[in-house]
Amino acid sequence: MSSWFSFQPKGWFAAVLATLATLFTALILSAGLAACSRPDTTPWKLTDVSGHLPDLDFKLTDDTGKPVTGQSFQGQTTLVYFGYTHCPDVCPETMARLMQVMQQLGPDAKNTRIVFITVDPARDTAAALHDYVRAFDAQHAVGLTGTDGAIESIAKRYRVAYQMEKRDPSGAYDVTHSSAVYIFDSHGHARLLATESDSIDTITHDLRRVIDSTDS
Amino acid sequence: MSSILYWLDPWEPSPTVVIAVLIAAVLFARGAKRAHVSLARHVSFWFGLTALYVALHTRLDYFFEHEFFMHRLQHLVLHHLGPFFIALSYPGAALRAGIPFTWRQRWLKPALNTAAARILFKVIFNPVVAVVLFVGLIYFWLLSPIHFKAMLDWRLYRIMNWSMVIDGLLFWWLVLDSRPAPPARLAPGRRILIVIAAIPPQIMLGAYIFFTPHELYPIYSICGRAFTWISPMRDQQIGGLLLWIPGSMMSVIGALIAMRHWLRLSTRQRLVQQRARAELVTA
Repeated sequence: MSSWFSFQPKGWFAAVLATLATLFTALILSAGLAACSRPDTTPWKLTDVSGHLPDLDFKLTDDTGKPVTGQSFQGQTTLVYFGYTHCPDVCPETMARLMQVMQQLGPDAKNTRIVFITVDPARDTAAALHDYVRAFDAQHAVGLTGTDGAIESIAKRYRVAYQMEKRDPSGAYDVTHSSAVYIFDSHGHARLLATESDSIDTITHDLRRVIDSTDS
Repeated sequence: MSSILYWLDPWEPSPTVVIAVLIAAVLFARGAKRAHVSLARHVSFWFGLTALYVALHTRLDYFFEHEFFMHRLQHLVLHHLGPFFIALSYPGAALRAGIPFTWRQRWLKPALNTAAARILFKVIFNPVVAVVLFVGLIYFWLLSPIHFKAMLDWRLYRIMNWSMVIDGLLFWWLVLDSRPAPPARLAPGRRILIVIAAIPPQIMLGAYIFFTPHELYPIYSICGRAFTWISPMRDQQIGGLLLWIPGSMMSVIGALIAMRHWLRLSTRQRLVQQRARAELVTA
């Protein structure tokens, strides 16, 4: 077995270089994928997801009982949030924050909608959603519900995790879910992800930028 | 029964997975009869193929997408366990025999003999390329920004999983080859060398993830975790450990098997030489 140490130095060095170059190119490409989809080169303060999530598309029912699709929000910038009306803390807090964003936007909020999609369709009827969502912001917020399958498929589409926790003796239960807010531009393209840690000012700033860049 | 069906229901249906697994299964089943495959090799092949299918195309995918350590478990199966057992069954001859004779004559042989195919094999089966690819892919998909996009974008997610499967098959096929070289691509000693070279980088990355005191992969917190009773830091630590210990353990087992092949081959070579010498003496 004399041959197993006999690497030809030139051959394997070139091979390492070639492999590293390939990995490096892949890295640059994936970075470029994120970079070239935005015309303004200053980085977003929220998480930029342009080109990585599918366009807004679903078949659900709104809080007045009317069927809606992704197309229904054409021409409107949408902030999509997944929650449920029995939610103890995160959902009301997020809705309150989004309400403040709407206030800060002022006239720009005219074509902006907060879309609250329930992850608890068993308890969240259209009427319950209507009372809940409109209490926060009757002008801009809309609640959506649908069959278990329809909710699951839109959650899957945007990689939202949610699941029913154990029932307590009275039959009540919590639904754990993602707290992210998905921002879509007026063409229905997914643009940004806002999280709990992003301030109201930050969300307003980037949201205004999405509105301005899509209109022009 | 219905609960099994519930779990077998693919979370994200992919025809590619079904077709690829079916083709491999049909070719092996057809060819195994002619290629005299032992029972142990049968078990090894079907176990590996089933493991790959379960890791790619069941409801478990929900947990793989929404829990970091479950994601690491998935990659352990896709990159190590599944390809390891498929390579261990040494299915090349059976798969080849499974292809109808005329197809082999008309398509497979000419395709393998083209210059492009030969250069490709020369590059991907180079021992250094094999190690760098094996370790590089683990590192690449675990870079924070890359991981974020891969878990969000379904196209990147599929590319990531397939790249792990294909690279796993290439690597373990090189390492677990039991023949002398040639016809094997690598000399028996080099097989041990490449599998051992892949251990320290895996330990390093696993330990780095385990000991990092902040969240490296916020995507799971943003999109929501499947197991809400495990804290984000604990999730990350278990994920790091899975890369650190079982990941490198698989390499150790691979090295031991390669070592056994080497010992067997060198004993046989010595016997052949002794016999040749004995014949010379009697002559």
